[in-house]
Amino acid sequence: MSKDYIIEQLTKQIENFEAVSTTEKVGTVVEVGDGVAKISGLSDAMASEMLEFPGGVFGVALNLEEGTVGAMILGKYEGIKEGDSVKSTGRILSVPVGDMMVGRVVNPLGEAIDGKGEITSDTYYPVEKVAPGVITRKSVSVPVQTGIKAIDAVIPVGRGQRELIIGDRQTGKTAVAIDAIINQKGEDLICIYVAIGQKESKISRIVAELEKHGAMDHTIVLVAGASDPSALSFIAPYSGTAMAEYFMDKGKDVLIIHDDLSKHAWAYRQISLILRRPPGREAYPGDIFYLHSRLLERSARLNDGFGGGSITALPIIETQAGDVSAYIPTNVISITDGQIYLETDLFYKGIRPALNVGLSVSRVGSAAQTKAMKKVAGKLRLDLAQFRELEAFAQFGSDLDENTRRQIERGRRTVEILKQDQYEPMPMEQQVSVLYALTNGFIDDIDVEKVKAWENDFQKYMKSGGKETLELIKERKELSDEVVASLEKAIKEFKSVYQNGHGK
Amino acid sequence: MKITINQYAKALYDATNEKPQEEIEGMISNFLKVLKKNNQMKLARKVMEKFSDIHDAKNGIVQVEVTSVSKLDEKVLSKVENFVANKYGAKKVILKNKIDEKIKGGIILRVGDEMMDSSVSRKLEELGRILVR
Repeated sequence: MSKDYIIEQLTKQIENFEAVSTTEKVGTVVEVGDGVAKISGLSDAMASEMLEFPGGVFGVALNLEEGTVGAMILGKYEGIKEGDSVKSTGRILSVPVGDMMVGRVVNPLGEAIDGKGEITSDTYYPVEKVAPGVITRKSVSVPVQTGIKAIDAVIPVGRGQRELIIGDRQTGKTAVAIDAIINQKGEDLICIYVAIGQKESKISRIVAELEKHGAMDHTIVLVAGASDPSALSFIAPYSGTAMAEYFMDKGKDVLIIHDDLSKHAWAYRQISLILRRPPGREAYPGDIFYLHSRLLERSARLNDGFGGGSITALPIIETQAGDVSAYIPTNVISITDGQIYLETDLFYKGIRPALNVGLSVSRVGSAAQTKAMKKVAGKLRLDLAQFRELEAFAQFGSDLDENTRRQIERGRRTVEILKQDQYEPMPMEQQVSVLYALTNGFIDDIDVEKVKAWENDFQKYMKSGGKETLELIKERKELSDEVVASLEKAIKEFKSVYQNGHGK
Repeated sequence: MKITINQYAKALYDATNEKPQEEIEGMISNFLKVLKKNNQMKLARKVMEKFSDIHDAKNGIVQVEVTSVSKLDEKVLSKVENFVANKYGAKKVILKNKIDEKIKGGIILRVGDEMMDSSVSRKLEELGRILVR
């Protein structure tokens, strides 16, 4: 391209440039501090309308008072000073949505932050939206396969369900969520990972891990980092849900992970206190419950008349020293359809995922479980419950009668089988085959310490020699006589080969 | 319940509207007594401002702030006056000329919350934004 051409183009553009002056509604900043501005004037501003501060920074009107508007600033608020004029835009806070968001890392305003170019979209969805009503909904019937044996068997999650992941720091809450995303590779679920107030280092590690496992192709990562203003942390889960709603309206299924809602509540508490809203329990404002209930209500399963799409939410809550009866955890527990409870003690005992099967529940998920899984899971749950009851006696060893001893031994092997490494999600048919072997006593003659190794070899064998059986389970999704026969044959074959080879 | 500035000003306007001078004098002293009784004398100045806003709005008086680089001459000002009178259907337009060299040229009209910005500085800003794209 020649120099003259560029200059010509430039002069042309400047000549054609015409600035139309229109009437704008303006107000003046009277007070600014900690990401919140008080603006006089702007008498026509709507609630949650976007306001434009000088320098292209946007804000959102939150408090509408007589003569003044309280607004939170979405972005850098250092340059804003008293006396600046603020324009109202007439637009409710909204984010760009669309298929091109998939595979990207964006901020809560839908702007790319992964350096892979600008995201342009002509579709905008409002960040705050009223949840789908009763007539548009349908109860859950299709499972979300998380790929984690303990979850898929004992606390199943259905599409459109809200399942809370709760636990102390360092118990593997994020790991569960990331495994669930990785397991959706090649499936029809679109995943959105919303990081709220997380360390940037953690986020970049997660993105790298997702890329490594090829999971970014179906994932949007939405980031409000720890150094971003709390206004961005506050809107992050809502804009993530807005992006999910676009896909739900298209009849697709979405999995959204809010990591984590404790930090979201902190961000909202900060904004509320600076806006001088009265503090309540633990200094949270009065509408802290509504903050989370209106967010999670938007995760729903629509019926076929409305496209049949769904949003499954996996909100995460971090507890302090295992205190689930604190304010925010109890709130979110009561909103969600069950919880996955992770414990520090179990984590250090080496039981990972550190799932407390007794305290974890799924209120609606079992309706969505495949028949095959339901059959093995029922027995598994019973084994585990009996084991927990008898566990205290386990120390007495020899004084137990035969029946009790057998149940304890079975329980130990069950715990062993439910252990699973990170980044190794397992498809449904493999889970069913190993759990079938477990609940039907095929593992009872293996030493507890060797169960893990046995399982690994068994999985390897099933993937090669037992391939047809796996295909059959995947296809039928139930344990009919034919499937059971094929499965038992495969297990017996493996056992004869394995036990001969290892000289046991 | 606390009485707001707006309510005071509105009440004062309704009470004094189209009343003879003698009556108004008495009313104002009574009004101030009420303010004192409610311990809200500090609001007096703001009530005055609000009262003048309400009075202007009811009588079709519009106050315009015209910002320009140098003092505008009568001809331009009368043009502005006509424009504003037409736009807002005002009976009377009060002009205030503000000088600000930062706007580089053109004028900015400001009526209450509304602003019409046709300054050179804003146009340059917009041109800059288009060229960056």
